[in-house]
Amino acid sequence: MAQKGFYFDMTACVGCKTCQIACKDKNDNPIGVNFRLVHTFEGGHFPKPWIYFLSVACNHCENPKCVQNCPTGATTKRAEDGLVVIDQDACIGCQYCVWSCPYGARHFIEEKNVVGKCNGCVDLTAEGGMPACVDACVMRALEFGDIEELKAKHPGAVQVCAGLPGAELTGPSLLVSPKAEARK
Amino acid sequence: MELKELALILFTVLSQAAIGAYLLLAWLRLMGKDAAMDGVYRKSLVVLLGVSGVGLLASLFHLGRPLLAVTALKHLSTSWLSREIFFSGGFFVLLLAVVLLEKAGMIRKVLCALGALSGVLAIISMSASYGATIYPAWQGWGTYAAFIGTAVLLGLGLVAGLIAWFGRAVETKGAALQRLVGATVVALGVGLVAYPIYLATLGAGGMEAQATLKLLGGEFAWVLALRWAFTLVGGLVPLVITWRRMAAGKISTGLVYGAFCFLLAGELAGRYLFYATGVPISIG
Repeated sequence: MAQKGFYFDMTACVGCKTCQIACKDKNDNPIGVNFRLVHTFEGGHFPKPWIYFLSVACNHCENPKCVQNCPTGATTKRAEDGLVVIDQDACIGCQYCVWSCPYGARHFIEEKNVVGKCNGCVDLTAEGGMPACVDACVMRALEFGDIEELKAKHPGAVQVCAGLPGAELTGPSLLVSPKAEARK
Repeated sequence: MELKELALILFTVLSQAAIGAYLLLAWLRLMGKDAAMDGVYRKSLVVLLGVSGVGLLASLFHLGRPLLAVTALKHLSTSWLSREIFFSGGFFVLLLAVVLLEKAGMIRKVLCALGALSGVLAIISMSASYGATIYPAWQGWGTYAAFIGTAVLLGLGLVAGLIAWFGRAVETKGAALQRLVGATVVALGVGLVAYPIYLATLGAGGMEAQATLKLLGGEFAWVLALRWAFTLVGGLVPLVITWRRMAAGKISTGLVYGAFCFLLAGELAGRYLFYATGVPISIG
């Protein structure tokens, strides 16, 4: 099975949040629901302040707690590409998956009474396209594809940096090229 | 406090109380040779059926789509939540069968044993389902201790109250009642020892566990104080007085009812704290 995942180049990201908005627009999400969220970290003192951003959606983990915990089986991990997807018709809105994701990638949508999440834009990628967030990024800081190919392309990228939960929890399919301040 | 958390507070506390009381009643009935108490136990089981039913009904309000609640049983192979619903629902169904098949002899005994097993497994699955989340304060032995503690404490309190109420005309109820009151005092003593150890475990944990401890000692300190005031002042003190009076041959049923109400209030406040002070592992 080829595992699909995201690569994020923190050194290129300027925190414009276009990826967040593109995702929100693509999924027609209401206020407060962001399947992709840009987190801001800042510190240091004048004359050496620092700032970095982390753009995070579902990491389509290797051992997704959300899949294991979902009581209805509405959340599954696809055999063909490892993407974690949710069948909203089967979701009962218990939100146990929200309590299972250390990346805050799952959101209860009040208007629908079910949970929603990033599905890697399966409709777009099935036609050879890229997820909306990747295509929208003005700095080309986001990439999506076979995680092994992404690793080979970005040998310095890591799974964990300051601000991210430990990769041992769920095995995220995420690679990050961190700024110096974000290196662990 | 949102309705969804309130639903879980009622579901967990009431289910655990009903299961604890059921196990105790089953044991008392098995041990007891007093035929006069049999009717008291039977009527008490009907009340427990109601308590368990209200708990299950409350759980539906946690769901976005309650009409599909039964589909939560589909993932028993890996989901502790599925198992929790299976055993909680199974406990209710078996309890209903025990109540309806009172005269069925051997079948009733088998159902009674299955009900007890289902109840125990329900509490284990409830604890495990919180342990499988990303909330460090809910992982580990603390949740098992809290949920088993609620079952023991409210089970004892509920059975004591039910025996006091339904056994009004039974003169021999005193001995059973006195033992129950004594056991509740002992259970409270164990809880008093276990809670500081749990707090110490939080303090020695990661930053999320420590954040929970900080919330308990800061923003929610007044709820924590109220929780133990309910349990100790409202619950323990009247029970000790009752026990002493019983030793002198007097029965104070009013104090037993009052103590149970305060114990229930204490457990509800404690469960509110459980949800309100949980801090998840997250980005940041």
